Amino acid sequence: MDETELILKFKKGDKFAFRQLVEKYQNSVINACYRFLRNKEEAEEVAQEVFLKVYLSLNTYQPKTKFSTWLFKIVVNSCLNKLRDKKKFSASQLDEDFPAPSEDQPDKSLEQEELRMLVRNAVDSLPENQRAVILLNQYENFSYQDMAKILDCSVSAIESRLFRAKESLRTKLSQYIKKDII
Amino acid sequence: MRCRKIKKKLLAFLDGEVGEKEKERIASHLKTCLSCGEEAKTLSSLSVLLREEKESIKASPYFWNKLEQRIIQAETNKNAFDTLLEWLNRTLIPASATAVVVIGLFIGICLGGIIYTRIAQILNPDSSSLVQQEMSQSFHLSTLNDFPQESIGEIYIGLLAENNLPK
Repeated sequence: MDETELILKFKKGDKFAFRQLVEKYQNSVINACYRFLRNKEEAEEVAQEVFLKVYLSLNTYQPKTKFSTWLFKIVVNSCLNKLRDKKKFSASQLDEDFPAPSEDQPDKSLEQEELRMLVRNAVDSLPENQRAVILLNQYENFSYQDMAKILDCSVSAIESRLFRAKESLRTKLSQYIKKDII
Repeated sequence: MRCRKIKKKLLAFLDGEVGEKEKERIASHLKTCLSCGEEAKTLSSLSVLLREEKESIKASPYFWNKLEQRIIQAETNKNAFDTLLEWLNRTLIPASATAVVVIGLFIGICLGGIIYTRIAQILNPDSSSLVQQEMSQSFHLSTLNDFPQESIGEIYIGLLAENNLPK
């Protein structure tokens, strides 16, 4: 059953339809929260808050907006609020954590897990607005238009943030980018 | 198309966010321009690198149970709040509105009296008890006395008497 039908059923009072909606999106929401917060317990906690907000305001949801766009707007706002409350991230962390690659074979000397940590740190060190566009673009595959709706800005602002984010990531990860992929 | 413009649009091109015509122009340029071609490869590789980091976690088995408890709690709180709001609507708001009207009337009457007195004093500074005189004349039995001599009222009464018409 697609989400529009589930939402219509919920609006008519079918609470089981809401459970089905949650089961459809829970992993996606939890993972998105995890990528912002980098803590599994907090990710699940915030995901619960997101679904509670969805439950309480689903009757006001208008189908002219895609449900996933509406849902992820709540996800992003909840995660950013949580981050601001915690003041979790400092951009200066990354430079200290980066190991110097060996001179002989800089990319082969790192194990896969270390590389993933580096990439994760690089993304986590981005300013909030750039990090949000990277997470939505790279991991949730939202279009620029959907991202603009989620983040309440224009498409050109999305393009600009993505450009700056990727420039920053490219600088930090330049030694690990394989140019022979294509 | 110049390289500077192409490079600005490369991300959108790689993400499939440009129109068909622009897509063809950029693709055609990339075939012939080494610099832009390298740039496109780097950006694509970066995307691949970012996607390789994609760690996945799953919801705990009790996710729905915990959520359900929070929903029940939120609905209970909402019902208590709704009940309070309804009580306020039924009692406090009408009572407040009535009080406002009564107070407003009282203030209006007081202000009206004050303004009347002030105007009367300005027009006739000697008549400090003008209001009292006006009031006493309005409610005094002197209204039942005959009309003053040569007044319009006396002439009218005289005419009625001459023509044997009731007064």
